[in-house]
Amino acid sequence: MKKFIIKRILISIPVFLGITLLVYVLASCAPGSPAEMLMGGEVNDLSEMTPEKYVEVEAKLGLDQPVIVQYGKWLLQLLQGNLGTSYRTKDAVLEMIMSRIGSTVLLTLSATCLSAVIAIVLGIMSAYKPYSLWDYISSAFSFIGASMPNFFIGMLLIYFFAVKVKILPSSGMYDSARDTSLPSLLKHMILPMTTLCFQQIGSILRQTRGSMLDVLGSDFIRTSRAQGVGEVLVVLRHGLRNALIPILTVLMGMLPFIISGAVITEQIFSWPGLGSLMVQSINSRDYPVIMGMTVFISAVVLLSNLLLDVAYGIADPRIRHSRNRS
Amino acid sequence: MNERLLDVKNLKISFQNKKGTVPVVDGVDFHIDRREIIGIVGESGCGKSVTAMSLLQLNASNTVYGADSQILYEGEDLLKKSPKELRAIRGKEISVVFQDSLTGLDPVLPLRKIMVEAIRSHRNVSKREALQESISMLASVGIPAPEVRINEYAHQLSGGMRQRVMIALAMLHHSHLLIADEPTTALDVTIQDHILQLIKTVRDEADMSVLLITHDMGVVAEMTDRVYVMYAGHVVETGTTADIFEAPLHPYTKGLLKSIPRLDQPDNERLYSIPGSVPLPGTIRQGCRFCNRCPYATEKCRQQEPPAFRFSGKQVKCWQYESVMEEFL
Repeated sequence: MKKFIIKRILISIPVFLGITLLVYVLASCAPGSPAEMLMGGEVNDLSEMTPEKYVEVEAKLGLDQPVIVQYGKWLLQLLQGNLGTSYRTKDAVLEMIMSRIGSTVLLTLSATCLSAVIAIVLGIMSAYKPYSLWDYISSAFSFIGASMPNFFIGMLLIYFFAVKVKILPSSGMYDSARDTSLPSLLKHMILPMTTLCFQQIGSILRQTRGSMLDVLGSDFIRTSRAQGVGEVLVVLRHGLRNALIPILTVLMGMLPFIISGAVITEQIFSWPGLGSLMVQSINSRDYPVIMGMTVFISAVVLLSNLLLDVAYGIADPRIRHSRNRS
Repeated sequence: MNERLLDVKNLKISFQNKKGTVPVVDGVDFHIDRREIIGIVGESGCGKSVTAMSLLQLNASNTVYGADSQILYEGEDLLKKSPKELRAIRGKEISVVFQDSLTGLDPVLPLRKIMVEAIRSHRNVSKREALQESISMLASVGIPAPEVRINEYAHQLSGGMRQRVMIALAMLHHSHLLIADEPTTALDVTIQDHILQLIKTVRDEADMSVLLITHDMGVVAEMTDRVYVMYAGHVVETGTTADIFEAPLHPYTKGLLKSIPRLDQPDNERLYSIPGSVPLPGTIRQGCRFCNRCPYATEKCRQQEPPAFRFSGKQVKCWQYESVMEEFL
């Protein structure tokens, strides 16, 4: 197992470098120079925006050097943990990410956990009595949830609970900057969390139902029933345990999303997380932030794939043993 | 104590689907006495496994049993038991050895957990006692180093070992009836013999009855006291194993016996096989179910279903014996 993990980490290194190269090349190909953006801030009126000034700003940012040199410098900084500074706010990108990651993870992780619990319970119930009325209801519910765009669900929720009934706030994390109490936070979390759950429950539920249905029809389930094992044990210990791998895949696939944030949902509810930071940065062509976040998210994706591989081994002894042999 | 352990009367089983119900077992009667080994033989699709699984109601959830069908186990009708009562019988009174032991054992749990769970489902013993018991049961079915093996998973064992584990699992509560559903089909010939001998040994030690489901006439000859030959959801012939092998009556039974390869057969001779295949459930029309594959079929066979004729302990569903035997039922 240790050998396997080390091998996987070593494979991740060239993949990560490839991603950084791609991110850098794409960013430098994008139209619109950041120098132009920046000049908007540095010069007071249009008459001062001279070509000389432009070259000066470009030189200050290092944009006059060949792309490959720029990439080398950027990568070197990156490996030292320096993701650069924002053109817009002049803050360090890493600090910007770190200051917002907490609120994003709080929202997305709690939404994902809640969705997982609800969806797995409902999925098991569907699979236990397939083609029953209950199964049809939960299928319909999950299809609607998965196919409705979340900006639409979000707006519906705001309309009913914040505009019409006025029981829940429509935006932000707290009532005011000074009031950072838990009840206030929870109240603000309900709507964005519900929006995210709507989307996530669908895919987890379908996967749970599908793989539980497969497993419950298998021979070893019949064997344990033939042994007189109780239904609860049969379904959870033998059923769910064996159905876990595809469910884990779906859940782990949500990990990058937990970190990077729900871009649209955060934007709708003005949630001060990474998703809304990404949108702001793209709007203002703040390349260091865009690149820094992309690299950061890529690293999280690589890490979650590694975690998923480890989790497979824990969940299924056959995978574990085949790895030990090779 | 009653000599008759199990008495199945007029067993009718059908599967329900969107289009309606498809009958798969149509009025089967059989009984098992204590310490008896009986065999149910027939080709794939004749309803033998479905019949065996119906004893513990382990068939799929769309299975419907006939309203007047009875499965009397020690005088009590298993078809009238509640799920809870049934659970108390499964594995304790009646246990099963399945055909495919690779898919039949939970792949993600070590044997230890599977066996301890099976014990503790029926008896309130500590995990430690249950583990000790499991280890000694594995030893008694001939698994070497059982205290090591018990920590392994199904995929780490060979096919023969897995089938021994299945038998050990079925033996944990010293059941009165063991249903062995094609226990040797997935195994090598040499291992087959070991497993059959093991079943005989445990039968002798635990005073069990065995219901052996197979399509292998060789296994039947070696193991059973009495045989039921099934065809397309009917029992077409029954009698003692000796009678069936020495003087088969039904053309289907004769065909099955002719299909066994013999050592004295000339090398260049083709092995006999019954032409055609078992009719699919739901496609059965009037007349004898075997008539379209039967070399002796007459017009009467095509028109009318034969009743079971009885003759000194034997029963056969074939018009040929109308004149020689008294009619039964």
